[in-house]
Amino acid sequence: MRRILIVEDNADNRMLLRAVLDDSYAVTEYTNGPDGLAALAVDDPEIVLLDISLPGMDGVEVLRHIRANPLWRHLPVIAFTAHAMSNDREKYLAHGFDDYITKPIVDETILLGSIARLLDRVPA
Amino acid sequence: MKDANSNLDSSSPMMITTAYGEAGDRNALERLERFGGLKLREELTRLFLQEAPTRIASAHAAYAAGDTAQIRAMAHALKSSAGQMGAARVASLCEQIETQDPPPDFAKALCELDEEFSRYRSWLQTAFPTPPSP
Repeated sequence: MRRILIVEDNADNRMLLRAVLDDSYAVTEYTNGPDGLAALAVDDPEIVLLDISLPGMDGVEVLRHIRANPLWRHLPVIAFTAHAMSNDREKYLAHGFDDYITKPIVDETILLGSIARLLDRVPA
Repeated sequence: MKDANSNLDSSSPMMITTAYGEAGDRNALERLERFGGLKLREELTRLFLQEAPTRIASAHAAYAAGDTAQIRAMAHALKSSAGQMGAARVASLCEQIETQDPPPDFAKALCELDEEFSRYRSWLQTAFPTPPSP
């Protein structure tokens, strides 16, 4: 199974993501940025699903740390956020996220499609 | 008057109409069952009913302390959970509290949030009654 690392502080969102992803992917989950960053070397994920509004270090800062490491510079990272204003997609893509998915999940095929597309770029 | 949702991403599921019917959206809860069966729906319901009042109470406390950023942070956190649980009015109020510029009357908005959450909880008990324990 291909590996997804989730960083999301809300338990309900983690539960929902597990329900949608667990059958198809090996999922590990963390509730804050520092723990997620520390887990990168251990879990060796092929893609990251990263909440933006995390306590302490927010998702944009977590992404900055990921991109600063040559090992993970090209690791696909999806912004997973309830920030859904009209210019937010462009804003987060400009920060360096590979895609942007809004919460709550209404159509799971959007999330699954995004993950599949980005994983296609990463050799299994 | 400017619609509170007019700046939302048109592809976003947080696009919530202000023309309300019921206090809750049955489709949202049925969607949870599709994602993870009855177990997921019941677990998420339990979690939401437990966490939402705590979040709202923290917003009241933040208001009393004059901490606008904390009020908006609470609204942001509650918004996606409420949307996920079909509590559309709660989610819409959270959206307004989080993003409205100039800011809304927080005292009034938080009272409305209390009322809408109570209405949702009542709706939930009717629409998805908890079966008696064996």
